[in-house]
Amino acid sequence: MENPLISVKNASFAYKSADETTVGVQDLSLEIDRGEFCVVLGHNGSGKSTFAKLLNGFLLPDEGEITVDGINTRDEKRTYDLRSKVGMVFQNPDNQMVASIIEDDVAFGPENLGVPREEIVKRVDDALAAVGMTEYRTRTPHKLSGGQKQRVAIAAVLAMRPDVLILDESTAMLDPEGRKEVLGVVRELNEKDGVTVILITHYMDEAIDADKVFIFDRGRSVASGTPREVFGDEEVLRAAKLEPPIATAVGFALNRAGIETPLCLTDEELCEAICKSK
Amino acid sequence: MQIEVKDLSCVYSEKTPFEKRALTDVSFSVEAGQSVGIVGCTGSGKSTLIQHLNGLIKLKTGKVSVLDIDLSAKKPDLRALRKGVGMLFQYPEYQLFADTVAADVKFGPQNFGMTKEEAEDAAREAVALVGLDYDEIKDRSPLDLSGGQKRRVAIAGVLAYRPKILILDEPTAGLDPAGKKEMLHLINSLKNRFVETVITVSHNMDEIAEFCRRVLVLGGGKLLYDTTPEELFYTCDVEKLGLTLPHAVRIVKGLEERGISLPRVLTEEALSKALVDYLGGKDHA
Repeated sequence: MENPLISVKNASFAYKSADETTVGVQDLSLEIDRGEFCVVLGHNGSGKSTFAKLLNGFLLPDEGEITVDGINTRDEKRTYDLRSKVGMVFQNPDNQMVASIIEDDVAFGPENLGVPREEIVKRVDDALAAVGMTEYRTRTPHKLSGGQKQRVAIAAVLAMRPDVLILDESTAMLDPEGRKEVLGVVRELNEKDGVTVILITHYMDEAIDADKVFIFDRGRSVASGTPREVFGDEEVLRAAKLEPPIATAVGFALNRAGIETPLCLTDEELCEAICKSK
Repeated sequence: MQIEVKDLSCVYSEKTPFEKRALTDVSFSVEAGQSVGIVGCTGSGKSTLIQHLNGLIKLKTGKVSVLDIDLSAKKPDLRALRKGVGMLFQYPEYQLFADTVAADVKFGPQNFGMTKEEAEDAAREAVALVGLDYDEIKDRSPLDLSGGQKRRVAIAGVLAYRPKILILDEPTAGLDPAGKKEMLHLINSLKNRFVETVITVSHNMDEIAEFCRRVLVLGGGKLLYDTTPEELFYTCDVEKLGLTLPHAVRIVKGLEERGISLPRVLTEEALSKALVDYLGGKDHA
């Protein structure tokens, strides 16, 4: 079998200051295959963002090993390779725009990688098309909506042709419309272009269609599997301070009341299940 | 009436090529003690509306009177208005500015004329209200706190000058689920014992359904509905307005299409109960 694209083995990282040590991740081990759509769920401080920063070598593990497409994140000689393989989009769309014109912003990454000009033009075209922002290319990012800004931020990452796209709570500041836009673009990139996606979020309903879900708590992955495997265990979810989708939570409540109900992830599924049990 | 808005209109950059109509003939009033939600998609005029309520946007067309201060008067008492109407913008944690939590929370009350001692007492009370320990936190830098704590401190900074009306713009945006729950319970508890009236702007219809008794719906700068969440979500075509339905409502409507009728519930808890009644009842029949 092919080696996993991302392999994390017994990785630990702690933030150390003069008088305090805060655990980021602790003895974390997991694997992600090429082309997978993974969702990492966890409350604030569960280690999600530390995990993301470990993957592209922003942070190096205190212990353990992390490899991405065969590159060990400790290998300083290959840091640039690593960064161009692992693209990251952050939470606040306003903090990640560097240029005053959208196409310049998208070109910034490949320019820094030393990509030849003709190739940059093509990459910018492709990246803006992939997120549906071509018509805005000569405008300024400041007048866009939050969802549009995040799409530009994604395009800027795509222009570096990454193997992995990490979205670190990139939908948290968006309104429902913006969230839908961004998730739609990400899903399409995954399905059409085979980009491996790691979506970090605390909205469980964004994880429903994922190939694989990891639940983080106190720096560890406390559960992993398909959404159906992971969401069925109410205790794990509550312990990790997550809110199951309402359909799932209602299903749990019915089971507690002695009415046997299968695991439901969507409103639609719950409706069907109730129809059948009457 | 604590808040009276009549025929309020607002145009940005009037008589320029960038002219944009933000509000058109909005009228409503709010009595003391109400909990009102304001919803509408991005660009519907929500922010423009709430900024009129404490005089951040100068009133041009229409009448607005808040806490008996008439904003259409020549020189309204804006100081009294702003003391009476506490406003929390989106991501209020970005507005923290002082070196210590104590200095940040005391800034408002001192500006509104409290003595140092009074401000200290007010800050202590406000910080306790938002569920933090004043002695433990007062000398720390607000920047060292967690996201949820920062937001609480920002709220304390507003509560400390004891506004009668509290206006919150997306109070739970960006918080994790546990933080969201705490924030909503905090706001709810404040309404019952500290501030008189709470106005919440939100995109999250599940939260509106659970915590507001009355909801104003804005669309394209007009007030489209002024009703209860139940009426809004069960009888109006909210999806056409770019809004989503609360999940509980979606499930009830989905069941209705399948020939099962349930009461018009709005929350997860009420839905669970209704379903237990419905399914349990069948078993015994």
